[in-house]
Amino acid sequence: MTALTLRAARTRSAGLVLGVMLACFAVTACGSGSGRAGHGTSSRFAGVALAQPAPKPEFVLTDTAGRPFDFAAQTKGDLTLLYFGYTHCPDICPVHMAQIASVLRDDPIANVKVVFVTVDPARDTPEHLRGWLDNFSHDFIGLTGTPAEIKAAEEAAGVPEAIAYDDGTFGHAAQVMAFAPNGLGYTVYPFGTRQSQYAHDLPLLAAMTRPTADSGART
Amino acid sequence: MSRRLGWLLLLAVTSVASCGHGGGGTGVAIRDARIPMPAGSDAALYFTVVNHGTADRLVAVHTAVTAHAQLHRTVTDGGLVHMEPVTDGLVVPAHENVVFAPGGLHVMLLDAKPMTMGESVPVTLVFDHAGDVTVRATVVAAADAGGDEMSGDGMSGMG
Repeated sequence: MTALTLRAARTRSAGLVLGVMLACFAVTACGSGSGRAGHGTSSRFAGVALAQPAPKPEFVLTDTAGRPFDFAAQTKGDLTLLYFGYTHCPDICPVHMAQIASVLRDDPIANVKVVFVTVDPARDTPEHLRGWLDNFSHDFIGLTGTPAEIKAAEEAAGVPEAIAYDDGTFGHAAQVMAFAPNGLGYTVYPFGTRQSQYAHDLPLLAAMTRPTADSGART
Repeated sequence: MSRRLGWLLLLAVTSVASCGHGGGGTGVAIRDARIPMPAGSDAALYFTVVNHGTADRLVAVHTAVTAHAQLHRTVTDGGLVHMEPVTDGLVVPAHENVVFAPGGLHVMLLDAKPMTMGESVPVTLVFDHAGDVTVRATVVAAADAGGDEMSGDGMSGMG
């Protein structure tokens, strides 16, 4: 945890780092195996509310068409969902993506961008990433880069750096981060989030177009 | 049909039913076997082991869609999730359920053959005592894979 804290102090998104860490603690504190978002929080969101709204991270990666993608600039004004994963992940990544795709199909949001950053650039070529994401939505944005670029994106987003294991699997952050169109992050969605929780929160977040000090917490 | 034959039939049906579908006759049954529609070549298999009998151990899983079916557990460590192989099999305590669900226990199907939505995939679970238990896993929408049993530890007692 010390390393994380040090890294947090170095990044511009220290608030987000701490928020995500707090959110992780909040989920952990729910007891073994609950894995469900929203427990123990007093919030108008169904997801895990950050203690303080966090600025959208800034990083540049490469999209599945091979073009540079400036995350903060090219998602400006959009409800933005950000996730770090890999396509050979059978358990968690596809469920998150499928849930979000399903919710957006049922209740479309005009200004939404779903961004999946691979932590496995060696196997997740732009073509492979595109093919995998197309199983969920042709609109989902896949990003890749050099290991150093991806590490920088993880740091900016305040998630721990993914770890590659010998068997081809990765340790990676499990939560989807949500940023309202006003550019601030209010919630994260740890693994275990239900479709109904996304369905509840996404329209709320999409409507937050102006800067606000509202952390989402009930007063 | 004589009344005696009727009772015998009823008994036979009852005794089969008590094993559960796919039960090997020792009280182990498999419920809700499902495979979220794979987006790539790697898939996950989930189910619930219902054990009405004595402790048993799930040692292997076989299926025609892959030669590489591995028992895995997703664990969270330092803000990262990763998968760990479950070595030496998985103990199913007496009179308990063990839930394989997203975010917890799963059978990883590596390099699996393509599947179609709604397909029924035969899967054989090998237990120490119950032996081979063959069930059919349904290929379901990935968004619905969690159901109500999405779990971090994969264990729930029957009480």
